[in-house]
Amino acid sequence: MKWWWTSLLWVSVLTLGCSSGSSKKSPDLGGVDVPPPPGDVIDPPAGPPARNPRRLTIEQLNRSLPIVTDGLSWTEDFGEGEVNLFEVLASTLGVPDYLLVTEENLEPSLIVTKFLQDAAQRICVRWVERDKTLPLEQRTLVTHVEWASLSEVDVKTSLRTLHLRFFARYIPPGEDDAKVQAHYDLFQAASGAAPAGAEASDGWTAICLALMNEPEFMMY
Amino acid sequence: MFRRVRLLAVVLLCCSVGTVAWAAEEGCGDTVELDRFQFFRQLTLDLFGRVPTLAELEPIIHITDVGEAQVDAMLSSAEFSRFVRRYHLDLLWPNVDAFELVNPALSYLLPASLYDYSSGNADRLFVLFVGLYERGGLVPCKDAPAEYDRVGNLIFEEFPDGTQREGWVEVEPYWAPGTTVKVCALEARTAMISSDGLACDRAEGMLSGRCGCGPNLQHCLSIESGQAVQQSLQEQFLRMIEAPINEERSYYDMLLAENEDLNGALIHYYRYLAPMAIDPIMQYPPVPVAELPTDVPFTDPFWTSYARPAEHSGVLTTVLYLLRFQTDRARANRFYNAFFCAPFQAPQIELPSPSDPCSNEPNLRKRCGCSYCHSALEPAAAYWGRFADAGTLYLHPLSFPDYSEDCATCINNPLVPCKFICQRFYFTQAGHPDEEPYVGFLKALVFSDEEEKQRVLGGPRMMVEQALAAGTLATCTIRRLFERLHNRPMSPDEEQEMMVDLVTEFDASGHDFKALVKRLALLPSYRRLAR
Repeated sequence: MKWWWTSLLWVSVLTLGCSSGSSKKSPDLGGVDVPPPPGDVIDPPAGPPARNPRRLTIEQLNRSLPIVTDGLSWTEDFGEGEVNLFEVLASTLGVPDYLLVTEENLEPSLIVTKFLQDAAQRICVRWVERDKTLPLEQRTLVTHVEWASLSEVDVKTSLRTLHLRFFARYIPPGEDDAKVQAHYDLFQAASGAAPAGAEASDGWTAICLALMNEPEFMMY
Repeated sequence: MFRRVRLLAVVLLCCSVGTVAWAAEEGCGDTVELDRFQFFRQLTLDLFGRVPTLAELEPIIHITDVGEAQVDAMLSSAEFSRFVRRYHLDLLWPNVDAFELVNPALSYLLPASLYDYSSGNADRLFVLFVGLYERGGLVPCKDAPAEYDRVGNLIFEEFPDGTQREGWVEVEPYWAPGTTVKVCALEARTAMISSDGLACDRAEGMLSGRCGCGPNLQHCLSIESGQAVQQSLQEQFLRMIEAPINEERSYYDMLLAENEDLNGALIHYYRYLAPMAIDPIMQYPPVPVAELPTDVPFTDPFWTSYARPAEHSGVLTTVLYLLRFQTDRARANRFYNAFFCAPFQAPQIELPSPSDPCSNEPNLRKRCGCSYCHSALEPAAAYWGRFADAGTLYLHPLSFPDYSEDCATCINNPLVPCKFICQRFYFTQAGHPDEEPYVGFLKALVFSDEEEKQRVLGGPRMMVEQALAAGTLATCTIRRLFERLHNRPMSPDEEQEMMVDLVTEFDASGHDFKALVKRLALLPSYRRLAR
């Protein structure tokens, strides 16, 4: 099981690296994509001058997660009250203290990817559990009427709103969209593998995990 | 558990595959034009430090584009402060270790657990030098209430390690009124004069180990109060930066401001704790203690503006900047990096051997291998020449003349060592014939020419005023801000195409920082994303 996890994590990190637009082939590492060393000259992208994408800082991430999940943060209670793990892990995650660390490394590193997955696992379960107990007008995850509905129309309606919420991607009602379709496929895969009665919960948990780990959420 | 693992595996596999497809579809190396939603997200992340809410995004469905109106609204919002603060934290690195605030051995209240793991109650507080001189070791008191004999003297217990230890008492600390903390009874002493006649509100008294921390522990720092002072110093620094931006004054007023804001924590720090530094570096806080109110508690969160003497110049002479960058060279280096875009960086060449005769040149401006940076760095550092290294004291010309006869001759008297002031601030001994003319002069004046002497006297204020007159600050400010928003430096083509116009507009606006952010955020290049 371990190699499976590690491989998946690497695939995620390496594809994030591609989307940053700042990677180069390194012959020393057998062609693995790695960020160039500081000071290396990066080929400018084709086309007119543009802004380079960057990863969210930990501060931006910490402030943004409660916005997309309607108030949920990455918190844990170790027996002395809830603590925010982005704050507890700030130095591990490279948040500058301006004494020993003066610059936040905004490369999409493995450690940030790993901790974001941890955060997503904690938050998504809570979000799903809370959301399914709420009346429609208070829900922020499933925004179609029947929470347990597996119908394509219903699921895609909620997915469109979630794309706006997470990525600021607006897809007009009724319009087809490849990325929404990909997430619908994921919903189907997860709900199809779920035990009876947990289809919608597992489907939406999978969607939440996917959205939080999308490069489109972490990069801008 | 297995269900969650399986679920996550499905998600990761699908996401990774989806990401590869997404990257391939967009194509690495291309640029894409952001639609109004993506542009709004980018603006919100950059200027507010968060993604937009659904409530902020939904109105955008009904408008045709995001542009000047939305940028104006963001710049007017209090949340824009997020950008201002983070940008300047990254630019100037304003932070200081609590151990720089007082001498940690003299007046830092440490929990017993730091030195005595076996003790039952780890929270009782003690000071290292009191332990060393009164208990016979770097140890806290014993974990029991203090006991006194019939005449009120503390009763000590002999310990097997040869130390003698008293008990603790409960004291209401200045940093948490209405509560009590356990403090070793010796540290809780309130006498203002020690048993050997030294003032307990000065480092000399605490250095003897015969003093306590005074009423409510006022002249000792705890971990909690140290954090509060640290945070207050950073807040003071950021307020000084924000004030001209919010009041639509010149951005560079933050480098020239005469006043500084103080809250309860900083007033307490200036009055009671700054004198606890072991050397005279902190005895003269920027605002004279006599002008500070005596009735503001440490916990008072309100900020009041106080005038500083004329030698002060905005953030560049704040306690935080001077302690964060402890030498005149370090102070100049950070400023030249941040505001002149001029790092002191040696070329990639081989350094000469230390045995090479040119390596004996005492003047770093000329010494081979050093001269590349120091020929520029020494004149730059001269602006801070009258601010004490590793401290905040201003060496006023009336108290610290350029030349001191005492400091010039003290080294020749083997029976009487040079005074502390001479050793600390004056050049007392030549190690090379070229240095001999400078014996007895302030260290900042060694090898300085006439222009540097003027800089030492004029201070950072002179540097900023000269730079403003020459127009050399604006170009770097534009470069830095462009780089921040575009996540890359301005290209030579862009510099050639835009810089003159941008500088002209920035100057014409009276160096309005918000107007510059707006100008750069509305550039077409900011709205395109490189993949």
